[in-house]
Amino acid sequence: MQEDEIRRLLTDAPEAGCRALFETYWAYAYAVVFRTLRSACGKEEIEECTADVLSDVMLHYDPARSGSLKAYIGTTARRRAIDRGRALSRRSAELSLDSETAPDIPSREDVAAAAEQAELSREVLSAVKALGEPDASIIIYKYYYDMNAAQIAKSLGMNPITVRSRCARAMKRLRAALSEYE
Amino acid sequence: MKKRDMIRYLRQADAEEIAKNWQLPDAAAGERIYEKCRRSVKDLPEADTVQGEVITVKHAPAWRYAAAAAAVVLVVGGSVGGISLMQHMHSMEPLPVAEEQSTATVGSEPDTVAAPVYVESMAEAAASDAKEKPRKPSEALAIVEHTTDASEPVTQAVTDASGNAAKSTTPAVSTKPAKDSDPTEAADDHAARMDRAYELLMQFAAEHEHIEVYRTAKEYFEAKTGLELKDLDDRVLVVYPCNYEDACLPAIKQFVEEKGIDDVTSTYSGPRESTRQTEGRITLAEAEQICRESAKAQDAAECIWERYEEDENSGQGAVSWRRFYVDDARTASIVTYYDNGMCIFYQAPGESDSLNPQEHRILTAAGDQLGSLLNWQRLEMQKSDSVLTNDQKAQLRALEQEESSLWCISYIRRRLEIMGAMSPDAPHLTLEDAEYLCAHNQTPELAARWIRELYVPDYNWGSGVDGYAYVLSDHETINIVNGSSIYYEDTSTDPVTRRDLYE
Repeated sequence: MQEDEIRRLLTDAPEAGCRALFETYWAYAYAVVFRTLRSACGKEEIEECTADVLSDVMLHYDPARSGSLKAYIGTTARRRAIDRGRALSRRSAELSLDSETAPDIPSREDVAAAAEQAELSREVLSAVKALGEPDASIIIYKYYYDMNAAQIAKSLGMNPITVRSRCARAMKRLRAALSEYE
Repeated sequence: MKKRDMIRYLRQADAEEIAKNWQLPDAAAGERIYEKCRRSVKDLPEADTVQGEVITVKHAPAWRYAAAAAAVVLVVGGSVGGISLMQHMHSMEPLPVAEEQSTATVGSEPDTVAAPVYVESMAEAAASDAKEKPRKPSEALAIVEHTTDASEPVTQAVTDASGNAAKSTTPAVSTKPAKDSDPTEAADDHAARMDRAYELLMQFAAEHEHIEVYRTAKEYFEAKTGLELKDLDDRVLVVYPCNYEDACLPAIKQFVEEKGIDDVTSTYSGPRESTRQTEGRITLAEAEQICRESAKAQDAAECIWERYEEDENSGQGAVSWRRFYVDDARTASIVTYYDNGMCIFYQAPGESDSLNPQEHRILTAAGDQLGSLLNWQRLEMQKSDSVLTNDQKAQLRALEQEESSLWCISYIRRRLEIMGAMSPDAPHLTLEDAEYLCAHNQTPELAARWIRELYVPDYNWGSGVDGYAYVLSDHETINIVNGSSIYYEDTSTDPVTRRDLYE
């Protein structure tokens, strides 16, 4: 569903709007939260945080004033995740400066580096997509969602051994595809 | 690029791109998150299956909504062309969606819970005796399936809960066009008849507050789901709450017979054990808990009402009393009502529909109800030869002072314990308890009632109309038959010996 449609629904029929908002953006919010919190907590906390993000958006997003819904969700998710990570980690300062969250909150001095890093991330992701399925999914599930071979195999309906061998081959192809960045 | 760097950049990849291109590996995560959201955001509708960017709304057959709303759906009129409602209800084919809902697919998924859909033809129902047909969760789903060609005779398929073919049990009754008639004319004729039936039924519904009428299955689905669907069947759906089946069904039967609406093909009713019902409906254990924790019966009643109000089908009782169906909606209920004071009682399966609390298990009572129970119990106690110690008397006085804040049965049980008439820690009734009650009650009916009342910790009672069997603490069985014969079965002997307790 398009963002405009969701905004309209949020105004005219909030219940249906909230539902549409959830259906359209929950995976996005989850991915943002996961990226930030993956090294700080478990799946349950990540889900909890995602639910908090979406509840926050549903309760506080004003369709008439709050601007882009996706940006609002992305920002809320990042902030919530960082807050959650800080709360969970005794080393909150370290978490906030973690290299994985750094691209989300680049310092003024390091904008260029952050931009370059984001560009490289895009390139890698593009190369992953070019691997085709199921290799792309295997790579994403393994390295983005931190799943093991058995979990990936179950999710994709494959044999864990096949997943491992395909993953290894896919990584080789990925390296070859990204050789120009050596 | 080194592998380590590749992984690092991958882990920093744009979340939006990831979410857009790769479905979340844990398909159930969406539902869990949605449930958490629901707890935070008031009035968020119930969750369906959500998977990644492509949303799969769980197949939403009529019976599912009937179940969610605790409603019965009568389908009037056969399908002429188009997609059969019944096929939607049980097939694996996706429901059609509006073109504009391109990002959403509405599909069908087999429900993990066996669907206790019961289907019967109205004619068959009318012909049968007044006894209710067996409707158990495991019974077969009958699909009365009409061919797209109206000239073909009605065919029917019957499947079990998992969709496998099973034995046919419910013949369809439908006034289909003659075999040699033109299908187009037949369709027009059918539509005209359905329009007429719809008009009549709408008039009927206007006079009956619990009954809703929908011109098409599309209307019904959209009203219940909010999803925009392509047109489904040209049928009229009569929907009413299961709670009012006893009141609504005869009235509808009479009406359709009078008006000559002879196309009522099927009745659909959904599972009572759905997630929604265990969440939204009150269970006996919950009602007991509320009664125990409420200072007054009035408070307990209001709490039960409020709890039940979470269910969209609530609040349809009369002014003076309300009946709340527990898990097995058709056979048990919690009744709260005002009549000489507030009383909340549990109607066990098989018990009469009487609103006389004395005939049922009372969960809590106030005012005269409690008073009458206590007076009666006191009279019984006075007849006994109990000689109480000072300590016991003090305990009783203290108990009487707080009687208004105690759960009625707990209070009486506690009194019996203090007076030495009941084993304090007995998980079940003991043989001695039963003997005591039989010895101190004037009639076997009263003794039987007290045995029932005091058999609190076990919820397996009320298993039959004719009698109750209570497992004693020694795992032997005491039986009460028709409330007039109470006997103890000693299974340690061979053959089993039977001893009457009330002589």
